[in-house]
Order: sequence, then C-alpha cells, then structure tokens
Amino acid sequence: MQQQKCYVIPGLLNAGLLNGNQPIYIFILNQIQDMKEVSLKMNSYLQTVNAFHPYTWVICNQQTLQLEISEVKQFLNQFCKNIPLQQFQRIDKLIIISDTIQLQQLINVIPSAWSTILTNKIHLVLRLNQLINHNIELTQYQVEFLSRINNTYQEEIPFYGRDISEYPLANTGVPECLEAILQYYDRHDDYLKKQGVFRISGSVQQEQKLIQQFQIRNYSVIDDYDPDVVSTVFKNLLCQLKKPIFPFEMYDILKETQINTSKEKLLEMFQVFFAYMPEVNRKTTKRIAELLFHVADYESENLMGLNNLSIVFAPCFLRPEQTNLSDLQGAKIVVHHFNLLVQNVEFFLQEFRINRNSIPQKVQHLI
Amino acid sequence: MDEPQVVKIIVVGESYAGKTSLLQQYCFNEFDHNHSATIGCDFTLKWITKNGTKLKLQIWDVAGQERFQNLSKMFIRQAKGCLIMCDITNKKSLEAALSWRNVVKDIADEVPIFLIQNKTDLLQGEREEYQTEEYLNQFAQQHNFTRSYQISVKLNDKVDLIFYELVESMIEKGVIKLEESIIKSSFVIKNDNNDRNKAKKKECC
Repeated sequence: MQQQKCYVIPGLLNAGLLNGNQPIYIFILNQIQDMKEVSLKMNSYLQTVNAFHPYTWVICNQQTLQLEISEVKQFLNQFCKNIPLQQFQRIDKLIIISDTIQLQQLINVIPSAWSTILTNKIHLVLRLNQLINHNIELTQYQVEFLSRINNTYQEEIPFYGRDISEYPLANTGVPECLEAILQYYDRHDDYLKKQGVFRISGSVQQEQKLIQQFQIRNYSVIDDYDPDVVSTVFKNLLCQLKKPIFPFEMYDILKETQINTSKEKLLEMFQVFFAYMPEVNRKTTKRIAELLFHVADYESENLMGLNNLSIVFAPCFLRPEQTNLSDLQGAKIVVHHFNLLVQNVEFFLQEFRINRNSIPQKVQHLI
Repeated sequence: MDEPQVVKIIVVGESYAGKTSLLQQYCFNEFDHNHSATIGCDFTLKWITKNGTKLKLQIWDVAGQERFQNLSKMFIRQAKGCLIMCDITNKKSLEAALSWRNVVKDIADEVPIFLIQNKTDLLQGEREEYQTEEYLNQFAQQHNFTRSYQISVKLNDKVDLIFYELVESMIEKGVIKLEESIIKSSFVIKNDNNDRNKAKKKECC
C-alpha cells in the first residue's frame, strides 16, 4: 500500500490509496459539494491513474451522519452519466459503509446500465475499520486523516509525544490541553498549596482516562480528577513532546556553561533562544513560568520552593536528544539555569508586551 | 588485598516516598525536614561487616521524577540489590512500585527486590486496608517482591534492619559471595537460615 497523491475536490478523499496496482477511491458523500465535478474528476483519474488496472470505490458519510439509500442512488446516477461504461467495467469492488442500508436496497438502486457489471462486486461494510477485510490497509497518515473524519475509526495518534504544533491551539496561543490545565489551576488555587504539589505523581489509570478525554478535546472533565493526576498529565505532556519546548541545541549549550555564569550573561542567552523559538513555545513557557512563580509563593505550605519546582520542571523544558551519563552533571546545571529563568520571567514578559498588540486578548474559556 | 567488596544497592520508587531521607538516616543518622527533590542520581557509601567480611555498600539514590527514568535505568545496571520505596499515606505509590519493579526486573533480573512502605509515623488512628502489614506482605508476595517492610525513616524504625536483610538476601540468592562463605559455605547457610527466622519472628510481633 503506498500513498499516491492528494486529491483536492471536496468529498473525494485527499488520501489517495493504492492496493498493489489497484487504486482505491474514497468518497465522503456529505462533503461533496458538486456531484458533477467529482464525477468528472473521477473520470479523468480513471483515464490517467493506472488506466488498465481494476479499482475500488468506497462510499461513506462522516460519522454520526447516517448514509441514506437515496444519497447513494443520486451519487450512482450522476456517476453513471459521466463515466463511460468501458471505464466502469474495470471496477473490482464497490464498498458502501453504512449500518442502515440493506444489501437488497443497494442492489435495487444500481443504474440498469451497470447492474450486470456489478454482480458480486457490491459489498456492504458496517464500519470504516472493517475495510481491512477487503484488503484495504491504511497507512498511519491515512488513518490519521480518516480518524478525523470518522470517529468510529479508533486508531488515533497517541496523546503524548506529538510536536507541540500538532495540538489544537487555544486563542491564548498555547495548546488547548495546556490551557485547560492552566485554567484548572486558576480555578483551584488551593490545590497549589498542597504539600509536594507537582512532585507527587498521580494514578496511572486515572492519567490514562484523562488523556483519553483530552484526545477528544473534552476538557470539562478535568475538574473530576485528582490534582496529582492533572499534574502528572501536565508534566508528561511537556516532557514527552517530540521536540522539547526549548530545542535540544539549547540544552547542549546550557549544559556546557558554568554553574556560576553571571545572571546577566544567562539572561542574554535565554533572550537569544527566545527570539528563535516558535511563538507557541514562547507563550507556553511564559504562562508556565508565571504559574511556577506563583506556586513558589506558597512554599511555606507546599514545601515546593522555586528550586524544588525547577528540579521537577526543568527536564520538562530542557532535555538532551540522547540520554547518557554525562547528563547527570548537565541536568544539575540546567536545573540551576531554569530556576533563574523562572525567577526572571518578568524580564521576558516585558519583551512580549512590546511585541504584542496593545489590545488585550480576550481569554477564551475552555470550560 | 584487604580492599572491601563493593556492593551496589539501588533505592528507587515514587517521588516523595523518602528515598533520600532513607539514605541520610542510614548513612549519617540524620533526618532533614527539608524536602528537596533529587536530580538524576546520587550515591552514598556505608561500610559494614558481614560474617567477618568487610563490605562497602554503594547505595544509589535514584530520582523518582518520571523524567529521570531513562537516566535511572543506567544506574540500575550492576546493582546487587534493590529497595523500592513507597509512601504509606499514598496508595498510588504502591501502584508505582509495580512499574519500578518491572523496570528493575528488566535490567537486573536475579537481584533481591524489597518493597518498603515508609512514613508509618504519619499514620493516625485506624489503618486503611492497604496500610496493614498483612496487605503489604500479601501484595509483595503476589507481585514477586523478595520481602516487604513497613518502616519509618523519621523515627529510624527498621532502617538498619532492611539493609541488613537485603545483604542477607543477596548472599542467599548468590548475587554476592563472601570470601569466608566459600570456605565454610554449609555453616554459613545454616547460620543464615537462623538469622532469617529470627528476623521473621521480629516482623510478626
């Protein structure tokens, strides 16, 4: 199975598939805006893409939308008009994905010109993931694409370990899931006073449940979870990012610096790093640094001063591309420098204010 | 010639379980009320004499924070014994002990692994089920821990005992060999059994 090219017409899936030499065309009926346009496009593909090989058609609707027999009928009639019989004779399979349509209904709506050709070629499939029974295997990229259009297809990309830019963004410029977590702490300031906050990890099962909800962008459930579970998700989300918030190069540079490097020099370095970081990384850093600064205010209660918090959070922001023993020393230096960064978050804030529009952004509440 | 044998012991477990405090107490008889998290890994040394043989215990304190786990794995290599710590006031830390046990088993399969529930001094009133010794022992047995103990680092309760027993267990499993024990092995084994029975009795009381 290999990827062929992307299709651009709405309704004709832009994840071109090849099963051996056999092209597979997937139609999302409810997305088709112009049936005629799609059928003409289809015709031109049939003439140019593997023109002498059999092909497969898959017809479906987006999930939650029932696929009605009348829609299928309309689709087939239009295609019958625009696709010459000789092209159509090459069809190997016509697969319909629907849990409401009966096979007999389907046979009844086949245009008479096509009925003899389609004998034994019509297949009814209840769900997208049953396509595998027809030897249609999907690549990671295609699965991703399809899972976005069809929620019954469950194989999603893992929640942890993506690039930060792959998470949907809130209008504050930080990823929605992080925004939900930060707002959670805004609402529950008392949790931040708890002894060992951010240091104690939560239940692994609960953590899994919460990230499942986050996967489907359901953030309102966060209030039902134990603060230690939320903080575990928070930390794991950050430290398992495909690329850390501060790029790997930055760690390599920082770990070589002396622990007694002057504050001015370090801040200058951070400033340069900041300038080269993507905006989402900068905004995320800023928001989290503010939170940590605030949490450290409760040190007498939570026993988590800035130093302790830095030990916990520095590896969330800075880590080497490959771990080896030399990182032990590196980790200590980096914790020290990260501490300094958090302490001086105000310094960077000013930079942001200059760069930003003077109109304050309205915070969108996710819950 | 008289260079003592180095025995590497690792202490792992969830963050905030008291690993660093355990080492401080055992090696320096100190209890620090400061709650500082550990970065990466640190080790302390303690000399003991076992059946007339000097041993140098090199005890590694492995950071509990998840993010250091990759690093931690490197320290587990060549370990001869392992203590997995959890916090008796935190049920989840028992759960975490299981994943630590898997990590350790993957790297050092043959070594004795003890399950240690710390902070018994914080318990007040009636214990919950998971806080009882019976539960812990059963849990440990079920999940292939060599032995289990409830201790208080703060009150220095059973701190020396667990290290003593860990060394015993290493000898028993053959991961370390005492020079004398090679010569009069049968005698030592007999002795060991007696010691262990005594220790068991002590546990029950």
